[in-house]
Amino acid sequence: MPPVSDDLSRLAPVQQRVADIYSATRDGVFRYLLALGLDAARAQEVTQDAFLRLYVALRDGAAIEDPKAWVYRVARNAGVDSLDRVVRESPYAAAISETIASLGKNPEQELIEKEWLEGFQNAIESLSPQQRACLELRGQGLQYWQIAEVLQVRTSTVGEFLRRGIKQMKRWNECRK
Amino acid sequence: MPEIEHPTEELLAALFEEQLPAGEVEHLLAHLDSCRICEQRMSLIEPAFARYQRCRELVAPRLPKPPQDWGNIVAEMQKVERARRTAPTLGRKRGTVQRWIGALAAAVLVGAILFWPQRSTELRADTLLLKARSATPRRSTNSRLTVRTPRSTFLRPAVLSGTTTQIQEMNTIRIRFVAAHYDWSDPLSARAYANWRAKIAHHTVEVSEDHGRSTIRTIAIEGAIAEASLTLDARDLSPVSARFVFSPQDWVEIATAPDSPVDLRPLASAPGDAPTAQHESKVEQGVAERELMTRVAIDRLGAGAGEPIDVDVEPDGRILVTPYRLGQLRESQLRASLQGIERVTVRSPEASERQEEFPASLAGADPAIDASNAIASRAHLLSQLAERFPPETEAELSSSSRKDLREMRVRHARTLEGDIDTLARVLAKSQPLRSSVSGVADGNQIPKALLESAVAVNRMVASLYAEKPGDGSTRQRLGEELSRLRDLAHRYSQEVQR
Repeated sequence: MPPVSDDLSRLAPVQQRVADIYSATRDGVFRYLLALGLDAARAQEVTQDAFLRLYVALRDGAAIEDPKAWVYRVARNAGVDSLDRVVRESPYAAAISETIASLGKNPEQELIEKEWLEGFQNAIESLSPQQRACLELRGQGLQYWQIAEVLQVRTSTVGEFLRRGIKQMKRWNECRK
Repeated sequence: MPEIEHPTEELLAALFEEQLPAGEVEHLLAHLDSCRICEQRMSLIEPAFARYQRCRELVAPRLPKPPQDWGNIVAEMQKVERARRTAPTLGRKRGTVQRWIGALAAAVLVGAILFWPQRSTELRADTLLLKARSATPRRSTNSRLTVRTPRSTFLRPAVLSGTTTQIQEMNTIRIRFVAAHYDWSDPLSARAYANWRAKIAHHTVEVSEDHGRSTIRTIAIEGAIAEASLTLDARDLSPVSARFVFSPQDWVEIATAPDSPVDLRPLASAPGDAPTAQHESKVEQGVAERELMTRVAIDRLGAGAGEPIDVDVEPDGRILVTPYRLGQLRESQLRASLQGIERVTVRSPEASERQEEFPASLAGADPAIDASNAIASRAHLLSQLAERFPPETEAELSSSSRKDLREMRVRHARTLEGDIDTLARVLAKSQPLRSSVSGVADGNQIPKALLESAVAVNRMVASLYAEKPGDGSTRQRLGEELSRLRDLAHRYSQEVQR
């Protein structure tokens, strides 16, 4: 059996790789879990857990084509599992309401943004979980094929979720005019 | 080098406007993923997404922050490595290193608290287990446990004093627990659970309280057991049930069963058998038990509400499951999840019975119709549960089945309340609804009244679209019925959570 220090140094590049992905991606994963409806404490736990799972998988030699999409997928599965047990109101809704309340006092730009946000709030409520997930992941800069990987669906299905999501957004904005 | 062929403006505009063939959508999205120019063209053609992005940015500062610092993941990964190295050694020197295990667990725990956030739950779980271990055991010599798997249910003594097993499947379970380093001789104990946790290199933990019970749920990153939950009676911290998940379709549930000296006969002595060996007896699963397991499996598949799936119990005790509108993939998932339940047959509907899947273009077409459909489906499910599992039937179920039934009811009741709120909000946006306070049905009648009210609301929402402009009569009745439905759902939710 090789000395512990040898083994740890062999694993150092894997650890560095995971640490880099962690620094670049953890905030996005955390925010995505908030959008799913998890509270902040649980979202942080699930995020950390997903990265440690990534480490264990990589150090054991798993072939992971896209670690970023993999982490989002693992976090999503754990997050959805949490929601099955405890139905919570999304922290997103509260954040949108607070933002609306803070805007539109005077400057014209703020008034426009307030209107957008009100449409956004209505649209968010009427979107299906998949539509929301697609919009949020796209908003975080994931490519379409990565979103498909996270949600375990075909890319064309991602396109259809986005199409419907965008349609809802436009609909609510038109209602306000 | 061939010139890249970029899609036309019309095609890009159609991507999020029209329903293009799937192949074409895939081709376009693949191009957008690799072509920054077209991605920019797309954002000009379809500004809705840019507007969505701006809203996200505006909301971002007000989103909750992580409650603790993110911590040092490299240190955490190294901790995983150290624990992985130590765990097998401990296993081999079993019997001489129990204190080591505790020391390692303590070291890992202290390290985790110092360097990694979120471990206050870890500390809470550890404290609970410590207290539970020192609490006086209240088991009598006749104590027994119900052991349930997807395939069957058994009774066994709470503590095995011999090693003999008679049931093949029970022996299989024992081997799996031993392989997972979980003490099978006394599985429903804080000691066994705590010792197992101490051997897991890395895990996350949740502690929840519900109706006088505390549940510790440990999710293991590695090892044969993926997840294990131990539920303690909060009054004296005695373990009442445990659930071990090896894989989504492979789990073992253990719960206390009523004491019964009659069922615990010593084994007929065979040469070499320990004189104190006790047997494990197989119990025929009741029809209600199997029906509930079937409904729970369907529900866990996400097909409980909203999908037309019939569950029929035949006079001879067979259970027939007929999915009328499931696609091929989901139907095969359904078959797989029901495989372990005795005498359940999934019947493929005749061509004339098969219902068309909802056209994709209809789903999500109108939030009010979607919400009222969801409400009606859920109320129907709750009404079915009330009809099939009245209190007298529920009383005959095992404790783990009663727990499953309760959880299913609570979950759907909460979602139903949420759906009703959504519908009220959606309807109120176009015109305020007139609400009224109405009387609600008495206890046992609630699920039936809930279903009637949900169906009435569903019908009225559809009628809104047929109403002449200026005629507010349907809207007025809808407001009143929605109030009644909300009262009923709230009352039902309180009842099932009691």
